[in-house]
Amino acid sequence: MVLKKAIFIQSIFFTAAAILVLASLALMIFVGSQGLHVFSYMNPLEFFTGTTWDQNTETYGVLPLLFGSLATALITLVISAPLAILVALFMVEVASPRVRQLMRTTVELFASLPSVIYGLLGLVIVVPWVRESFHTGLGKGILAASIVLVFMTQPTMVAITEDALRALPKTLREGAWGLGATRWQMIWGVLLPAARPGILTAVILGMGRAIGETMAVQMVVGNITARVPKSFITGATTMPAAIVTQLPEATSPEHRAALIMVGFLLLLITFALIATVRLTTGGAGVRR
Amino acid sequence: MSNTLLESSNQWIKSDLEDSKRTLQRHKLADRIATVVMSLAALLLVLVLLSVISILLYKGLSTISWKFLTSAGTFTEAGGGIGPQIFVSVYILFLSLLFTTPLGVGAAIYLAEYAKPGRLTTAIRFSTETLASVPSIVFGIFGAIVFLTIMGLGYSVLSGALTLTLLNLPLMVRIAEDAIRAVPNTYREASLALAGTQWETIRKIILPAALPGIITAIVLTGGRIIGETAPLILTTGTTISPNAQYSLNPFQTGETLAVHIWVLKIVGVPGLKDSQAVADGTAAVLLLIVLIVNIGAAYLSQRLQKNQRGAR
Amino acid sequence: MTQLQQNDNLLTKSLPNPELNGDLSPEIEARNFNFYYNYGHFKALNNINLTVPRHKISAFIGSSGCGKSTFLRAINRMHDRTPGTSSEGQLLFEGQDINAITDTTDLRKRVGMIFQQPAPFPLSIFDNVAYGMRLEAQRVPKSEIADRVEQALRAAVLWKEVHDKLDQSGLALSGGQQQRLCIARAIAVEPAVLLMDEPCAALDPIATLKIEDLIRELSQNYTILIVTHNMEQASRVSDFTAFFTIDENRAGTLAEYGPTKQIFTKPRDRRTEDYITGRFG
Repeated sequence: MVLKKAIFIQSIFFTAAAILVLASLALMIFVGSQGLHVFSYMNPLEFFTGTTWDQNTETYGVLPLLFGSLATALITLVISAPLAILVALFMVEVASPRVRQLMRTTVELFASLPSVIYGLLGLVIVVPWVRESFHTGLGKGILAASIVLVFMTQPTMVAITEDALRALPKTLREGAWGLGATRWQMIWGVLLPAARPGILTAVILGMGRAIGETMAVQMVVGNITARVPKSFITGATTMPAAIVTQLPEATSPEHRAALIMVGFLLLLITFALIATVRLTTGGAGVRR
Repeated sequence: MSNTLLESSNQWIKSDLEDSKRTLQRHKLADRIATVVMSLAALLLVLVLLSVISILLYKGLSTISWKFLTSAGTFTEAGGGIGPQIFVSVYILFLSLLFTTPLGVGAAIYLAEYAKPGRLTTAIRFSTETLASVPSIVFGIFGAIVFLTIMGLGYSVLSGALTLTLLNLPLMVRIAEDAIRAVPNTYREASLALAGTQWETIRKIILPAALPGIITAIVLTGGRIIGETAPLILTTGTTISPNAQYSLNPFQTGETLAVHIWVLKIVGVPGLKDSQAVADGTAAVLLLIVLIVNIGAAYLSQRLQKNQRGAR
Repeated sequence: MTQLQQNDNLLTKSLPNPELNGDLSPEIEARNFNFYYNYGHFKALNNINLTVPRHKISAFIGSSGCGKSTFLRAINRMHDRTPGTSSEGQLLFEGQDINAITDTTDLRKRVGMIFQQPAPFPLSIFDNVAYGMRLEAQRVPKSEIADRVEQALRAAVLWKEVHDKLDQSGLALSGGQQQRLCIARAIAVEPAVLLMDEPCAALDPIATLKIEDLIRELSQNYTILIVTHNMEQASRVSDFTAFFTIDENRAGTLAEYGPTKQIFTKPRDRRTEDYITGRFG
């Protein structure tokens, strides 16, 4: 009797856990199947190599979206990664405990700002700046999106890099000091190489964050899907931006399926990045 | 002869020393420059954050008033408010947490107290991590497919709340599980030794002890819900029906504060005279809410640490 | 017959199992008991044969890793929490096979445990002691609880110190007081046996002596098993002592068991003598 009740209670909690499993399976299955459905309307080659995405002519080539996403992510990384590494180094090697706590709070606040607020600031500050500096167009484009993303990816990258640096054994630092190295020599020659797996994790996950970011990008990237952009300061698009712009209005089943396929592609790219992290670093403490 | 040899070797040693001195000076200079650069990087982040907060508050605070927070938006006239949007935000927050908390805490209890190592447990953890890495837009797509279309809920508060539940489940599970695992094992053993059942132990000792951590989990999840936009655009919509502005009907469409900002700025409400002011005011309100939530969560986790230290 | 004479009788009757006479009925018996961790891969206890008599204090001594705690925890089925544990042979409580019991809450009503780290719950002192009584397994009527809390606290020699602050948190007490609180909590549900796993290891010497006095008092009404690292403690407190050691296969085994006086003055086994005189361990 007592045993029956115990088993009943355990199964309630088990159901909650099982829902997690079912949900993740359902996600893959539904998004995947509805996305792959697009290939009943067009052939995969057109989809993956087409350079025009135009819902009015029902042409869905994914290259403008893919290019936008990758270019944005790369430019973001080029600026964001060094910045994050410097900030993390500051926090671990230079800052006093109080300053370190201040920096942690700062980084956490960056993380908690909603995406639309980043987008709003991008519209109000970054886009006009691009417009004035380059004297072309509206200012919206991949460059504006990248600048905004630099700050949005800081929390992820700083946190993981900081963890990686702090996890390094004390003996590493003591060895360098003992040889008479300056702090920078120790950092450049010993710490950074030793922390490379962790830093790599931070960069890859930061890239994943940048690729998956929707609203802030959508508000400053220009949302031109018709062609692959010729420069970083003309209107462009990214995969999530296109989805959130077009899906609510998409009426034709082909359009919907195409957009869902883009979402599925996004999912696969994200999983590929995470798999890369696991393979290259043996899952170096990814908790954020 | 020996004199010049001595002289030249002295000179040689001297120049060698001067060389090393110069190298040392170079290294020291490099170190100082590096320190300055690192400090500037950190300073940059702090300054940007402060500017961001200042700009948003500067632009938006003037619009905020009691009327702004409680009256409905207008279509053309200036002076409309965001009352309904606040209501929808709170409604979705409440509904979403209503679903997420029992599911998340339940799964966390299973993982911390019942699960035995094995393939099933590995599958559960793998699923949790998988869900945690899915971009929010894809959750929006899933919600649009399953809740909107297949389950026929349409653009509704309910669809949005369910979608956000899935999105936040991994976070809730992780923090709740951490809180439950942090409860010392000695409590469990003592309770079992007194002839307590596992459920009694969980109910009477573990959950109460883990409560501060679980509350932190709820607050953090709530903070995320308030900021989510993309999934809601795809499942709850971007409008509030004028007849249903403070309705508790979960099947109505809705527009949260975050979505409202996007609608005003990007989609545009042509004809609305003060749309920018409203957008700025909404952004300021959103920012204030986020700051308060963060301070609340930080305060809670500090209290949590104090309590745990006292318990040893 | 004095206590000492009774114990000597045991000595002459049989070894290593003291034979039973009416006054020394067995509470707990182990017969050829083996215990394994890790799905059979690690044998922690090898062929334990021993009898724990009623209302006496039996001490288990031996160096770390000999399986003393493992054996103790097997008695109230605490190993159920650990996956991969199993046993062979018999472990009996009042004649019943402990491992055959399906509902362990029944067993634990009669066999209580005190742990090394005093672990009062984060509840008030009153609620701590009342905790066991409020469980479904015990079903003590509400009206009786307050009286039994007082009884238990008196028996644990804690009543005078806490009677006016029963709502205070149990965690606010000193280490020694906390352990006495845990003892009060355990005896409030009126078990037959108290298993104590190094109860004084985390306490200062004064608190330790107080607890030892308490243990001696309690043995009038309870059967007590105490695992201890402290040989002096075993010789001060217990009536019977079991010396555990590690055999060639790293499994814990019983080297010798008998009345405490005999173990400490005329040990029969070479290993016991070595341990007691400090040659190792």
